[in-house]
Amino acid sequence: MHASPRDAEFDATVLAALPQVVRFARSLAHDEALADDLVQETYLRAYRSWETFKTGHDARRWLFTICRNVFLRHREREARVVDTSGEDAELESLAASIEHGEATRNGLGDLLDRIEVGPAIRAALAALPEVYRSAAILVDVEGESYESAAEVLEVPVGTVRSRLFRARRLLQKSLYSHAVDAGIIRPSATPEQGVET
Amino acid sequence: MSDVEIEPPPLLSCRAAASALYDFLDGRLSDEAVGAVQGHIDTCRTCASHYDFARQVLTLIPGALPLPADSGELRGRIVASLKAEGYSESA
Repeated sequence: MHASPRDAEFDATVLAALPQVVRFARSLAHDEALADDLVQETYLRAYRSWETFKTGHDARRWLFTICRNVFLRHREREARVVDTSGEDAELESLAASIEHGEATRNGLGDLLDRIEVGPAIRAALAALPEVYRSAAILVDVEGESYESAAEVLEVPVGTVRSRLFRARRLLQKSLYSHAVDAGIIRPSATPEQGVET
Repeated sequence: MSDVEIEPPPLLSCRAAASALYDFLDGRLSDEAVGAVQGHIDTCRTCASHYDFARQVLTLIPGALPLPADSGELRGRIVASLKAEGYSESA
């Protein structure tokens, strides 16, 4: 049977993005079976609303938006509970530097050469609250711009920036904790100190 | 020889350099700000260490989440559910 032009275009632009959508869904859900259900629902919704998709737009971004909305409906409670009121992009960067200084004093050294980085990063990303994880996945894994991520997440660009910076800071912190657990760096014994100047 | 004097970038504090970390790594600073940050990390080992570490982590993140190797079975499920909506697969 021949596909209609509509379905052929759907194949070429939407089904072609399946691996990226699967990766995105798995990073949101942490559970392969749930992620597969999310992806299936995403494609069903995409097919039903295919007429609303504007030719020339980024299909992957459109699918990420649908997928995240489907996911949030599964996890409405988490979306409401996470307090994002203290987000401040510069302070997240600053705090990350302070924590890095502390980890260095505790023996950080060549940490990234001494741990299995892939599993550590996967675990750290999985532990992030969804709002931060989504920002990190879109920008740092999928390579989306801040502006595109803002479109998917339906928040202002400044919010993407502050969530992304917090995600990176929390990720960095998780790597340090992983290294402490592995006996590579000493646990922090002193209160956090500021940067030098 | 040009008689235009090139001014050194303004001195930046560690705090300011730390605050600019991720904007710098994401290429979202003005040329002037990049020069100021670069000037700082060229001379400050503490900040340079964190910039290096953060840059390495950002480089490693995509590789930690590779694309799924085979979505064939899931694709089959999706296609089956789309067919119920009137979809016909390309040959």
